[in-house]
Amino acid sequence: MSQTLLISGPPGCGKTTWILSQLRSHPGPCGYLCLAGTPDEGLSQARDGGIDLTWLQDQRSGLQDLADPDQALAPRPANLLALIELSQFQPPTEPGLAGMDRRVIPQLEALHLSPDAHLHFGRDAVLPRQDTLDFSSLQAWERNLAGAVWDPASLSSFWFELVNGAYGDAYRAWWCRARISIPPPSRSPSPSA
Amino acid sequence: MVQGKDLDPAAIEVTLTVRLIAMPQSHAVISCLHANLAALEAVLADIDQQGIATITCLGDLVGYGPQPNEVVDLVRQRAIPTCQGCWDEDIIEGLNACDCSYPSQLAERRGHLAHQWTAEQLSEESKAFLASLPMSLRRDRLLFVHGSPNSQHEYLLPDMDAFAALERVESAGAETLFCGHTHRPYVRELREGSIRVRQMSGEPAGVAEAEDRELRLPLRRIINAGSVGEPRHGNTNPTYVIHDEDIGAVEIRELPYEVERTCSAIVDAGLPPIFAWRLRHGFEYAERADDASHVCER
Repeated sequence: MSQTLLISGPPGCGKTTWILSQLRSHPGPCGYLCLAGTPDEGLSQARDGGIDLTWLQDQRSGLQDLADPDQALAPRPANLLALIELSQFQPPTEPGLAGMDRRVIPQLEALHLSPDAHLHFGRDAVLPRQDTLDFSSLQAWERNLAGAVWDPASLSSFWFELVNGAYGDAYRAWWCRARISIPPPSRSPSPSA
Repeated sequence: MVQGKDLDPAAIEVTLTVRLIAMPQSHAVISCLHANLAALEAVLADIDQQGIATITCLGDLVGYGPQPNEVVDLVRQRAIPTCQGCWDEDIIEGLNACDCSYPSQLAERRGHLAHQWTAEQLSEESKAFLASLPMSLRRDRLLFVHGSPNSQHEYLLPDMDAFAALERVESAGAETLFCGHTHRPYVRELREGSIRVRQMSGEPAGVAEAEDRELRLPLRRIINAGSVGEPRHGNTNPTYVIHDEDIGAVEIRELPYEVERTCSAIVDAGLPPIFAWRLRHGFEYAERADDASHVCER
């Protein structure tokens, strides 16, 4: 039997970490979707930029991207665990699915997703204790390095500076694993005798 | 005149006597100023406070830091004998070192940025002064160099092979070698060094005779002054050394300075703000090469 859960909570409360633990313990197929959230809560929302999905796909093989329209139309496996992540600063006003932010429903419907339950950090005891930092504003910084070549030593230096606050307080930073294709060496002609 | 009813006059007398005897032979050695005026001013003030009149500078007056002309001017004003550092050489001769001088492309890019900025800022007078600096300075059996007697770019690290270290000192005809470049101060004593020579003799048709001769070498020393402008020994404090020629005592001195003054100047000058962040945290502006013993031969 498939299950679709909407997991909400403030940024940094542990949503993605908890989701990963569920994905790892589920024996069947899994899917993931990260919703952008809404910017009108008085706090700016950080753009995810696909980093959560990339990281989770690296940690859990075969993880489906529920935002993929092709997969939305395909029949879902019977034992699929679909987890939807939503950044939401303010606690829901009502318990259960009734407390779900109505504005995300069109997005979910477009992807043929209908949550069976809504869990919110700080409200539902099934989730771990909330561990939210006191954010007043969030910024996501990303840079497309497609076509750029960075040597590992430079990346290492940059990472050291980044996580130690050289470019501002960093709460979350991840490496993106690069796929590198190196063409095989051309076969040199056999030396003549 | 020191006064105070709680002070023991005898103790004061002893202290003053020791200082009067020791001070004339004490001299200070500074290195790697890296255009950090606030650090240099703090170090010179500390040296002055101790009544030391002889100061020697081991080069790298410029590079990375925001006040290259000011630092050059102050060294000239104080008439401090100075030998040429690798940055001083590169800034007047152009960048000759290859990629091997940097551990990463990022460090290399930053190094080139700093080089270009410094070259643009330096007055012709400052450049002429840097160009006039000698590779080494000698005072009796004391030799002063930036990196090693062989090159301004060679690092004499504290854990360098003892024979190689001894060779650097002995072949330069020095008893004590003062160097910088590593940005980490240390004193290394090379004791009980010896060189064994096997001399072969004998008739061509006969049996060769071998004679072993062993030359015992007296104590040799390498004293690294660390860095005034870009400390790399674990915190932000500049270091320098005081050496007493008579009794051979060496003191590595470390003192605080207004690091924020330099950090602000870095940003105001338009240098990369990351230089200020690294200096504020006691990190080198651009990382040191992994193989510090490597000397670029380009």
